[in-house]
Amino acid sequence: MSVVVVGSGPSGVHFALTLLQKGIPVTMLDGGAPPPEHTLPGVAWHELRDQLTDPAAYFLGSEWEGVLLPGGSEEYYGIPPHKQYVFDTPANWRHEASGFSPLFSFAQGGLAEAWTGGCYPFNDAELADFPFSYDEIGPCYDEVARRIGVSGVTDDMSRFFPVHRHLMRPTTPDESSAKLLAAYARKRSTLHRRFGLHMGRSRVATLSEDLAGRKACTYLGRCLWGCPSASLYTPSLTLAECRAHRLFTYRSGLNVSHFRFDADRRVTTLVATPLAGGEPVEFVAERIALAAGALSSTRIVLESVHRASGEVVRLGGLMDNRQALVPFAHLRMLGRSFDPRSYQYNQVCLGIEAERPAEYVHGLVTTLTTALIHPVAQQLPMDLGSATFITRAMHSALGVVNVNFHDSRRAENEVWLEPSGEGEPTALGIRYAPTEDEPERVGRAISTVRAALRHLSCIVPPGMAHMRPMGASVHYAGTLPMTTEDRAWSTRPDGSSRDFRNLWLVDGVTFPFLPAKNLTFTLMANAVRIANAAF
Amino acid sequence: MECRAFTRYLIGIEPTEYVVGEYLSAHESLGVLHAADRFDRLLIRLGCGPSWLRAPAAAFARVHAPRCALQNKLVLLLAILETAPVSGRKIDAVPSTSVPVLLSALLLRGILAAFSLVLGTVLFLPLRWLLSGRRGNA
Repeated sequence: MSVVVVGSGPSGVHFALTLLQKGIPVTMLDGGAPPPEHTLPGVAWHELRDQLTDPAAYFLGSEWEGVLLPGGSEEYYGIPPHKQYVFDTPANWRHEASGFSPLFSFAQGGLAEAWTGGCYPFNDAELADFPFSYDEIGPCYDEVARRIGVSGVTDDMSRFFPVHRHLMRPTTPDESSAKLLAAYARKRSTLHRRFGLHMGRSRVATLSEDLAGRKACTYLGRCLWGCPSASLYTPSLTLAECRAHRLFTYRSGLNVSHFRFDADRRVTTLVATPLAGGEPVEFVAERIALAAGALSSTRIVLESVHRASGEVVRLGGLMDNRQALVPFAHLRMLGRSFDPRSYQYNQVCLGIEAERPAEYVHGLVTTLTTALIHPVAQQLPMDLGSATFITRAMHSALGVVNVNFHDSRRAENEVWLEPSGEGEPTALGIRYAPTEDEPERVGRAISTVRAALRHLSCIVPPGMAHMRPMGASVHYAGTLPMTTEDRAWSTRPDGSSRDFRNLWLVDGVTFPFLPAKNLTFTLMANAVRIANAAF
Repeated sequence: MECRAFTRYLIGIEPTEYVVGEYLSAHESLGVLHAADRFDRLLIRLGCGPSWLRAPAAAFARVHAPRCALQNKLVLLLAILETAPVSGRKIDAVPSTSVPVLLSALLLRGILAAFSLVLGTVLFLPLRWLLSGRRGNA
């Protein structure tokens, strides 16, 4: 019995590795764009400028794509140029979206190659809509943590994230993060009582100790640019582990467009188009697992049905996490210089209780250490010379809270296939509208964060909170949900499709609810769970 | 000359040859760095002209024309400066200081920024109206 897996993202690689460990042969079909070689590995971020022959090309790109010019995204940081490969799509890849700005990936490791490493298990309240409880998925979180290395502690945030096994001690916090945590310790009871707000160390897939040939973090400050020491986990590391296995076959450079199925709704072949051009290639498969990411897996299913019958199926329930960025100045860091040898991503997180526990609000607190300042300076409402002076003077005091909100399945948030003319590629149609109460919910949470930060000696400049477009968090889920109900366009608890006999859905497409936390750790654990349950 | 003037304005030092080269190179490929009209050209010329006009011109650009060529040039140059060897170290190397000294410096700079914005608005808003009006009547 062999299994064909589509996609090498966090779901696909952990599903595949689990099958391989059970002695089941796996063929993986993947876009598979490889990452570029790490430039000067071992050199810290602030030292790269002096050692690169063309630092502008490295930091800003050969086409200046790394410069955030006015009128662009209004983000406080951009995607580094050599990470752009994660988001490249084929020339004929089309989508038409309303209220949603989707991202796709044909890279080895998928979109998670650009993640920030957050590993937050879902608790039982958040799993209420799932057809399993924490007891069932808990061992899977343990297994993933053992494989990838997760660092963190048991602290006030453990009320929101169950503590799993194989949790390494946390990385050393930078001075600003350490001061925030110390201030929180003094103000804890006030923050709990007045705001329902808790704070603690982030749980991240970053090594504080060596693990399986990967080195512990040495604080190069290059997290966003791509960790050259593999201290920060990305799925391509597990892909490499799979590729070393004798039962694993990797076919890259492919865009799986659809599958064919017989009258019994049994999938017979997968059809893929070489990304370099050429005629489609077909793969006969006994069992197929789609792990191409929620939107791409949905597209494969929709395309398959459309090509077979002409039917245009509309699948509702698309979810993503709304995010709001709240910049702040940490007054206890005024006059301090920043240490460039620091972990670049968030080391502190916060959580705001909600009336319904599943609707908890999650915040990632990133203090500015090594970073480009031109995206930040240009946001200040003054001449750029003054803005640069102020940003430089306050560099070590600057930070941002990325506030995340839960999402629920709603029928009106749909994904479908837009048919096209003869010989033209179809487009993926996406429509998303937030709930009517979203502005009020988000506004209330931002006010809470702002007020809580004041208690921690941080001020939030007025008018600078920024709502990211829907789709920016890349936490897509929900169009083919897991359920115990026997209904069309759903999956069983073991990930098997109710619509196709030998098809499994392994990624976020099956999630029936999306809590505010980063879902990637749960994607990996669920993939392990499905591999154990179904095979 | 433009790169030198803008670099002195932004971080108070002379640009290296590398920075000048990258600045010129960017202008070969980025259309948004080129003036869109007569007022844009005038703003750029005055923005790298007399030193007392640079901050007002930049303030006007940021607040009243945030996507104009001058603002784009300045943001691009800041990006180049912070990634280049000598200027990047200058930008990062802000020494520790006492909070009162820092707050005083920030307050003074804020006052200067506000003054620059007022001066820039008074000087350039009528000029933009005049030049836009003349173009419209041509």
